[in-house]
Formats: sequence, structure tokens, C-alpha cells
Amino acid sequence: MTRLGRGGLIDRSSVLGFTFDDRPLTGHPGDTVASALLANGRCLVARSSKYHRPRGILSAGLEEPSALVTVTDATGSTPNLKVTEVPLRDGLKVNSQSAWTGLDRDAGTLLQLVSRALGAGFYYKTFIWPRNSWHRIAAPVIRRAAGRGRVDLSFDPSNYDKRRRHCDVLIVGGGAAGLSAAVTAGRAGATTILIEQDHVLGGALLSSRDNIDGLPAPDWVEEAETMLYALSNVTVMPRTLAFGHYDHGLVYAVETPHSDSVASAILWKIRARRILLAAGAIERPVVFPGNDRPGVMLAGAVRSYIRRFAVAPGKRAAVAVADPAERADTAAALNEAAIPVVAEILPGDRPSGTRGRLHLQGVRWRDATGRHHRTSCDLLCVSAGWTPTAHLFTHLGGRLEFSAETQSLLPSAETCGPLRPIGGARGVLIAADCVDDGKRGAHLAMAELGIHKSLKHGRSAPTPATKRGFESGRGSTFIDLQNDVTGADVALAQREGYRDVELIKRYTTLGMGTDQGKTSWTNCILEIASMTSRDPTEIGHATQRPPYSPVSIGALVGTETGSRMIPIRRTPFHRIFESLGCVFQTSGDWLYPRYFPQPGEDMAGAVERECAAVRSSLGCVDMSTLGKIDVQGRDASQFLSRLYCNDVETIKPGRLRYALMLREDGYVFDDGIVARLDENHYLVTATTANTSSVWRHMLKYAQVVWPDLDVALTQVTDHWSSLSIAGPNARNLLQALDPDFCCSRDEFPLAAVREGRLGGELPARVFSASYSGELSYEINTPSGFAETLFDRAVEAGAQWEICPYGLETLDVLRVEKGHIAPGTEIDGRRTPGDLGMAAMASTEKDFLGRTLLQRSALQAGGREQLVGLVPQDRKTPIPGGAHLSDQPVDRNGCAKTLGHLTATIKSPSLGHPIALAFLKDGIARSGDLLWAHSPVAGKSVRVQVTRNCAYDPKGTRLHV
Amino acid sequence: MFEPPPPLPATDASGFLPGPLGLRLDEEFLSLSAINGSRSALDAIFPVGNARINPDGWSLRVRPSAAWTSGDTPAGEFSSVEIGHGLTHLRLRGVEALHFLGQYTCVDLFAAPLRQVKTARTRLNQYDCTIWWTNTRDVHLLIARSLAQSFCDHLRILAVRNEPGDSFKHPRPSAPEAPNRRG
Repeated sequence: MTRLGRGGLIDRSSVLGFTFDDRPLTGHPGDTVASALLANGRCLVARSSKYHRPRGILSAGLEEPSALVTVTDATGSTPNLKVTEVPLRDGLKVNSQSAWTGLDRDAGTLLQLVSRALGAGFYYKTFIWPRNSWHRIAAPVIRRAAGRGRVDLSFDPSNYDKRRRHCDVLIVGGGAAGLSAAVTAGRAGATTILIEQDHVLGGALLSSRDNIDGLPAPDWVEEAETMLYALSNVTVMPRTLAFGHYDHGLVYAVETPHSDSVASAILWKIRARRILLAAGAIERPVVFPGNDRPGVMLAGAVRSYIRRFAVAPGKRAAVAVADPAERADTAAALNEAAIPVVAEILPGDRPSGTRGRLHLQGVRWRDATGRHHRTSCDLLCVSAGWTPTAHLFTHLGGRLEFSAETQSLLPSAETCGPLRPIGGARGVLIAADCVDDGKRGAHLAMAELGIHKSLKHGRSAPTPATKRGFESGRGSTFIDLQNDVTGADVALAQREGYRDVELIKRYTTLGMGTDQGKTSWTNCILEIASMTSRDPTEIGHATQRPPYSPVSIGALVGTETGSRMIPIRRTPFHRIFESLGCVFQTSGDWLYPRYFPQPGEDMAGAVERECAAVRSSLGCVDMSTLGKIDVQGRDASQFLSRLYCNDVETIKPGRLRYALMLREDGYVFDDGIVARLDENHYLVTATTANTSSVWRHMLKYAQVVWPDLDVALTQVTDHWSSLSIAGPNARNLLQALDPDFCCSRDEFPLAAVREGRLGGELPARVFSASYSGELSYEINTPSGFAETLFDRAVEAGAQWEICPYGLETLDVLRVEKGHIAPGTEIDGRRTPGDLGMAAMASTEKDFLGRTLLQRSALQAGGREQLVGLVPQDRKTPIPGGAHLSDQPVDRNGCAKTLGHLTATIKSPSLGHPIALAFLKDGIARSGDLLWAHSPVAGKSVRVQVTRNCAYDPKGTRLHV
Repeated sequence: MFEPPPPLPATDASGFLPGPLGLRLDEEFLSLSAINGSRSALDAIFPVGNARINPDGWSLRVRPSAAWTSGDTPAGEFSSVEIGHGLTHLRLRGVEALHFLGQYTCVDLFAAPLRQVKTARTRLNQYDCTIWWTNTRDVHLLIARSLAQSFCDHLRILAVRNEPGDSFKHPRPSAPEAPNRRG
């Protein structure tokens, strides 16, 4: 154990058990998996992805490139988590990945023997022959060798959520700058949100020995936190990572609530008027041969493990830190942990290598005078400088520029949209300066928002880097530890012409993966500059995109999974249909009754029974999903006349008419009924699928195109439920429902509408209209009375054995009648003529789509027209989706296509299969024998072309 | 003529939502009409986007040429269409009612203009809805009847994901001079 006897922000009173590679270990609340592993003396925690080199823990934060593990808890396992980002919980199972047998003995290390052959882009050059070897052999082997963990495909029981917040000022980062900005903004009265990725506020101050405003840094953090919690307009969100910055001040952040929370992760969409990016800076490793060995650790991380987690990360330490103050602070921290500092490698020295198989055992270097040194140590604290964490600044196109002064990539401007970097994110590294910069950044934001006057504060300048850095000795140096990208790989890319940083990234994979170049990009730029003698400011940087750090897909999805993906619409009859054992199906957004099976009955049996009931006696079907739009006004007639292609102005009050609506381009848009309730009052229906489109279309024309017309539109689809009763006994049922309703053929003929109260009490509109081909009435009643209507209809209709039917039967009945439906026949490419409705397009008035309907292409012969089909033998089912041809298929299974099927059924009324189809010059081909080929079903059926209406073509049953 | 039977509810909302927030969701029938008229005539009653809440009813100007009202039709040249059965009226009550909904709406329910009108037509996750409130503990929602049951189910799912330990619920003392930003 390397846990220190005292200190740290951990709760020593309680012990948490976890396993690493099945070995039981312990830690304390406040630990991360990384600190707990180090406290248990576990330094080797991973193998690198390409060469399977042993890797330890480099950092103490999200920038960790190497120590990726698979973490398993009660909700399942998650691969590729950084040990530094996972708070320790009781019962966690942590497993290493990318090792073929075990971390200590990994067969993958053999790849190091051929590492010279595995340079950047080797797979582009190597697996060229035989031709298919890449997909069959090489790719699977490489993927297996380079893979990182396995995705857990089992059901994830976690609760995810997506929420929104709005604020005046969002502060990203709870370090020195973030805290001072939050206090300033909060006190000024701005609604303020402070988000911090860690579970405690303070950032680097937690392991700092600096004094701020006369207080030790941790005490200053505590005081700032107390101030924030006293402000009711400030919300502090710990454990929340801002990972993306989008237009108009939108920041996406993911919160990982505490372990006993009911939500596993919450995705926050935070809309802020100003964003202060106080994400701090990331320490830059030193590049030298053997710099990837376990035991080489960033100096800031060493201080953090010692002071925050009370862990001694080594027993003998060497220090290679560029900045003198940090070097001294690191030495002080090591001293606090009683770790002797055996060597100090100074700027200008040239580290030339490390030794040790699975862990660092020693380091060697040459000093500025050229003298060789070597020492034994198991910890090497490195720091070449700091890189501002300005990823969110770049997500919206903000650029970073290399600063020779700070030797790092700095935001090129003070602002990017509403985002302003402060503190470490703009290169200010000294704690007191960060506090000042946070305060001034907040004041500027307040002034921009008009919350107070501009105080014209000057800003702290970015902290300059030490004039001299470390130089690298000869040997294999690792620039990107996550992707095993070496200095040689970058040099190779340069030699092969991949000089642009974007090309270097893609050729070498530098900066890819979960790391996204956090610890490697600045070193890469300096390496390129050194190799090519270019100025680092010319080199630029690769585009950084969201997410800043990996986010679970569950959090991005939230609650919208499975049946909750799309909100389901239910009709007003849903509850009662459920009690009848109805089988439902989704139709668009709607959950629609499909069929009503009786015990032991399958769908085919149910549909046959339901069809027979409608044709022979009485059925009822829910038509509530049809769109219903109330149209009123002095110009309602004219408005509808312009919208529909047929004559609707001559409809008399109390009558209705089937109508066709075209798009501007002359194609059929939708069909429905136009019912004239009163002189200036209409109700029009739209097909279920097109309701929203028709509503928007009508609104647009009423409000934008013809604002001079006095017309008022109200969508009443959900207000009215609709139960259609159909069959020879429909009139008897209507009479039974209301004995006073005069519904004889003369008093209430086909295509009539009447308003009133059914049975003297139930408000209703009854439409005499049929989709089934039988005598039919659509009874509309306000939706709250739908179940009452249904109960009464079933009770009164019992004497005629009324049978509820669903969508399947509705489809069979309409195909028998040759009625069109959206999606199949109204597919956006048909003119009224194609559908056999050319006569409906008025020649005496203007209407929407008329001009373009006159196009020669839409009037020419040879267009596909709607026809009916029957199999020649009157027996063989016609396969759905079949293509029509006048030839059998040739040896290749091909035949010239003349059209295609839109619907096919076995007609219970006719006793044989029938179909609807679009066929070139179809009407003229009536009686022809054709082939219906279905490559999908592997069938070809001989069919005869007929009229599209196969059942009661004269419509005599509608007028009984 | 007899009185029509009482309308049946569209949802099963009648009681407390699951979860520790102690929110109560109930469906109540609201007789609602769409008032259509000329822009100038409606402007004279209430401007676009404005809402009026009083003990007699609630009104909202939803479009330049249309308003919804639960009270009497205002005098003037207006046509009226009953829409009450098409919009389900839900009441969410509880200490955190508005804050709970505010976490899921596109619009900031606590923005200054909305704190004045106390009404918003917005989207709550995937659901278009209208929200109004007299105080933050008693919130009224209007949702298309066909979506109402799904919406209630959705609120139940959301309610169990919230807990008093959430950061937005941390009880915090208010500084005397701090502006009331929580509605």
C-alpha cells in the first residue's frame, strides 16, 4: 500500500471494495479508480493499443491518454473509461483491456519486435495483395489486436435523462477563475450556472499550496463555495462535463449523478447568454525516449495524488519540470509524502532514456554540458509546460494560435460567439491571476449583458513559458501515448508529404480516439517545427469537435427508447378497444386498431369475419384519425374552391362532396371530404397521414398567399371522434340510436351531413359517406363522448350482430372498391388522370396546381394509370410489390417493367385475389394478360388487367 | 333535449406521479373555444403572444388571427369553434411543479417575460404543449388529446428520474438582496 498516513480529501472512515483484473482491492470515498489503484501499489494498468507496451497512469484528469479500462457495475460494463475520471464506488469491477493473456504477460508485446514495420499508415502499404486479403484476413486481425475493450450488448437498465437549463452566465470549470467569476456574476444578480467536471470544486487549487487573498488555496475554495451556495441565483453543478458548444449559446453537458442516484447520467442542454470558459489548462508531457513507461507521470498529477488523494505514487522520484516554481512545488509535494527526490533534470538537459520492463526503474540523461547521468527511480515527474483547455472555444469555429511566449495554443480572440475564455483557458496560469481574470471576465460579461456598467478592467496576460525547454535524446519517443504515435511516425508523415496537420492526424492517428490530442497536439506542433525548421505559429492545429470527452450514447438518447422513441397518439376509442382484445398497430404516430380477434382466431380469420360482417350486416370502425379542419368565413367557399381541384362552391348546406387537392406542381396532394355545414361554414377532412401537411398547407395559403380572404381555420381533428357504421343495416342502427333522426334514403341521402344531438343528448355530426362500398354513416361526436357513442352503437347494433373492425379490414374493403390511399396510390407522382379522376379537375375555374397540371408531360400518353388486377386462374395470390410486364423474366431474372402493384389482397367478397396497380396506359390495356413478377418473393403470376373497382362498380349498395 | 353525459377523461392521470418529488397530476375537463377574427379585432382584446389569466377563465392569443379562451366569447366579430375535447387539460401540482417542467421545456419558463404572462406555448421534450400557471406550485397544461396519455406516461418516466438530491433542488438560503430568480 502506498496510501499516506494523513492528509488528502478522502474519507478514511469508510472503505470501498473493488476489483482490478479480479484481484480484490480497497479505497476510500473521494478516490478515483486511478488513485485507488496507485494506493494499492498498482502502476501497470493498461497496454497500449498498437505495440502493446506497458502503460501506467500519466495524469490525474480527463487528459489521461493511456490508462483505459473496462468498468463493470450493476448496470453492465463500459469499456474505455479513463481510470482518472471514474469515482471509486463500492463493488466496482475494473478490468484491463487490450492484453491478450494478462497485463504482466501480454503476447501482443511480440509486435514490438516488428515495430519498425508497423509505422504510420503501414496498413495502407502492406495489405495490398492478394486483393481480398485486407477484408478477410488483415482487417479482422488488426482490429482484434488494436481493439479497446468490448461493448456490452446486454440490456442497459440505467435511467438516462435529458434536461434543459437557461441562464445569463454559464461558467465552465470550478477552478480559481471559474469560482471567482461565479461569485462575481452571482453577486451582480445574474442567473449563473457553474459546472464542474469533478465532484468537488477547486480544480488545481485542491492540490495547491498557494495563498489566495491571504487564505490557503483549499480554504479559499471553501469560502467561495460557501458564498455561491448563499446566492439563490447561482446553481452549482458538480460531476458535470461540458462537452460541446453549439450555436446561440447552447452548451451540452453531461452530469453523472452520485452513485445512489436514480439517474445514471443526465444530458443538460444549457442555453446561456454568456459562457465563461474556465476549463483550465492541461499539463504537457516531456517527449524523450522511453517516455511512455509506467512511472512517468505529469508533475501536476503527482502533486494531486499526494495532496488530494494522499497517495504516494512512487518511492524514489526524479523531477523533470520546466517551470522553476512548479519544480519546487513538485519537490515540496514529494517531500510531504516522504519520497526522496533523487535527481532534478533541468531545462536544457537532454533525457535520453528510461529503463524497466513493466515499471520505471531508472532514467538517464545528458546535462547541458554534455555529461551523462543516470539514476534509479520508480517515479519520474515530468512537465514541459501547459496547454489551455480551449476545446469549447474551437467547436464553433474559433481558432487557436501557437504563442511563442507561452509555447502553447491559445485562443486567437477574446470571444467566440457568446463564449469568453478566462483563466487557464486563455493561458493565465498563476492562481492569483486566474482569480483576477475570472473576476474581470465576469465583469465584462455583466457589462455586455447590461447588468452593470463596463468597468474597463485590464486583463491578466497569459503566463509566459520558461525560455528553455527539454531536448530529446535519440530513440523512440512517444508523442501520442493513446495511439502509440512516435516522433518517427510524424517524421515519416512529413517525408511522405502529409505536412498539413489535418493530414498528419489522419495518417498517423495522432490526436484521435478518446484522448483527442489533449496531451499530444502541442508536442506534435513543436516536433514538426523542430523537424522542418518551421515556425510553430505556421503549423496550426487540427479541428476539435464535440464531444470534448466521450459521452455515453445512453445519455444522448435519454428516455426516448423503444416504444417511447416517438410519442404515440391514441384515438378516443383506444381504451374500449383494448378491453375488446384489439390488436393495435402503429400507423404514423397513431396506435390504430388493426383487427379484433376472437379466441383462437388468427389475423386472416378475423379479417375474413370482419369483412363478411360489413358486407352482409353491420360493422363499425374508428375513423377518428382522419384530419378535420373547420373552415369559416365569408370567403370560405372561395378559399376551398381555390384549394381543391373539383367544384366545391356548388355544395349546398347540409351536403358534402369527395374532393381532391393538388400540389402547386399539379400532382395529387390529398383527398377527403368537404362538408358544408352552413352557408359560410365547412368541415374538410384530410387523410390520416397527410393531416399535418394539409393543415400547414391551408394555413400558409390563408395567412400568406391569400390574406385578403375572410377565412378562419381551426384544426379539430382531436376534438371530434368518428365512428363509422357500415353495412346494409347501417341505416337501421342510426335509426335505433336516435328514433327522431330522419335517415330515410330521401331525407338523408348519400353525401349529406347533419348536426344535432343523437338520442337528444349526444352532440353529433353525421356524415353520409362511404369508404367501404356499403351504406355507411360516419358519426362524429366530441371525443369525450366517444366511448358513450361506441357503447350505445354496440348495444343497439347487437340485433344486427355489429362487428368492430380494424385497419386490415378497412384496407381490404377499400381495395375491393378501388379507393385510393395516401402512400400507396397517392405517392406524390400522380395526376388526377393517373388515378382515373381526370374529370374531377374542373375546367371552369382556377385552382391550385391547375397551371402545372397542364404541362405536356402530365397530359401526354404513356403515363401510368391506376388499374385493377386479377390472377388469370382466379386462385394464385399476387405477390405484393410485384412489377408488371408483358414478358416472362429472362435467364437473368429481368423483364421490361410496365408498372407496379400498390396493394394486393385476397378478396373475401369476391373469393379470389385482386390487386391495384399502376400500369402504363393502364386504362387502355383493360383485359390484357400480363406478368406480375416479384423478385423478392421469387414468384411470377399471370394476371389480367381490370377496372380498379372490383366490387359493386355501379355503387348500387350505397343507395339502398 | 337533455344535458350531454359528462365527458370521459383522455388519460389515467388522477393522483401522484411516482418518484420523490410528490407531484400530483390530474386531468380536468376544460371547455375551450378557438376564437377567430381579424387581426385588428383580436389586437384590441389582447396582443399576439399575450395571455390572460383570471378567475373566470384563461385566454391565449395563439396566432395573429386566432385565440383560445376558456371563458365567454368576447364581444365583436368573431367566429367561435369548440375545441375543448381536442385538448386535454392537465394540472400538475406540487412544490416543484413548474421547476420540474422547466427542466424539459425548450423555452425558459423563468425568463422575465414569461414570469409576467405566466403562459407559454412550447415543446416539452417531443410534445407540443401549452403551459400556464397562477403560481409555480399549480401548473396547467394543454396537450392534444390523442397525445395526452403518452404525455402522462412520459411525465411519470421523467418524475422517477428526479430526486430531491438533484442540484436544482438543493435547499439554499436566499440572500436578502438576491433577486428572486426561481419564479
